[in-house]
Amino acid sequence: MKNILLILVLLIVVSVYADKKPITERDYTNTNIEMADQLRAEGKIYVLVAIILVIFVGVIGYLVFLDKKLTKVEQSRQQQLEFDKQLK
Amino acid sequence: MKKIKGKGWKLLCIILLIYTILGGLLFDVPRLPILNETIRALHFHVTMWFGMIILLGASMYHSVRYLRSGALKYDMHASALAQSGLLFGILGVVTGMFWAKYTWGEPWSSDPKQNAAAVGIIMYLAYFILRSALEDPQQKARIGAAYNIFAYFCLIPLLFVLPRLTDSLHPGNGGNPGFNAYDLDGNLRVVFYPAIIGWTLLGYWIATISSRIRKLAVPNDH
Repeated sequence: MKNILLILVLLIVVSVYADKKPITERDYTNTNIEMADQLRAEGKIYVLVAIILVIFVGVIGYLVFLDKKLTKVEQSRQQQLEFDKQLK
Repeated sequence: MKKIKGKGWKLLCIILLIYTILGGLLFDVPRLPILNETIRALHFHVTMWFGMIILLGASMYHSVRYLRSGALKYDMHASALAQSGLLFGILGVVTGMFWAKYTWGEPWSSDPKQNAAAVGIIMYLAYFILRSALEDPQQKARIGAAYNIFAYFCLIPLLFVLPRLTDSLHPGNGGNPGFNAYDLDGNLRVVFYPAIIGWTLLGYWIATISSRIRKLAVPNDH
């Protein structure tokens, strides 16, 4: 029973990896394949990188701001609860 | 949510994601037919699915903890994590459609994995509809938790087993030559793995905020 399971697992593993073609050094130098080489040569890619980074930093900055604000609300609620307890 | 001490992980999340954007756009990638420059979507589209599976797994874990303890805070964590996991799933489907349009020719070619992902998203939408239909918080939490565990164990075979049994356009599931080895290539891996961690941490961060808001909305302290 154990052997059958082992063979089954091996078969699955082999079938998953069997038809994988490894990427070779040639795939990095194959200039027949069209890539955005011009965009990179002109350096315009950095414009895109800058825009995406600014937006990302802005959105994350807002998330940090919300996180801090929420912490403040939690603290003031905690104080309120303790205050209510003392009144009782 | 399990308390991770300090704020270091949030900083790690930001650093990893900035690295992902820089590396994902600028590092050398293999020049492969059909994919061309779009191979870079690996660090953005594929990582959404990894993030989704991890977040939904965490959600399922909190549902189990709720059922074992009956503490409502676990249910809040579970539904917050399911929400951010679902967000990642929707983003994954939408970005996948863009990618598919320019590589497979059609935004929706009824690929088994695409269909399974759509079913998975509908399953999790049903989770939120189910929750909103129940009034009593304990009942909502208990039925929701049972459904959540069930949904996760349906999602795994849908996404990882069934597409392998038929022919799929997705790499590692049959066709799409030339991209099967993306996980064997070192240059892609140095961005891909940090990207998975970064995006997952971002989803977790959003889930903690959502869960904290839910906790504040409860009238008295639970």
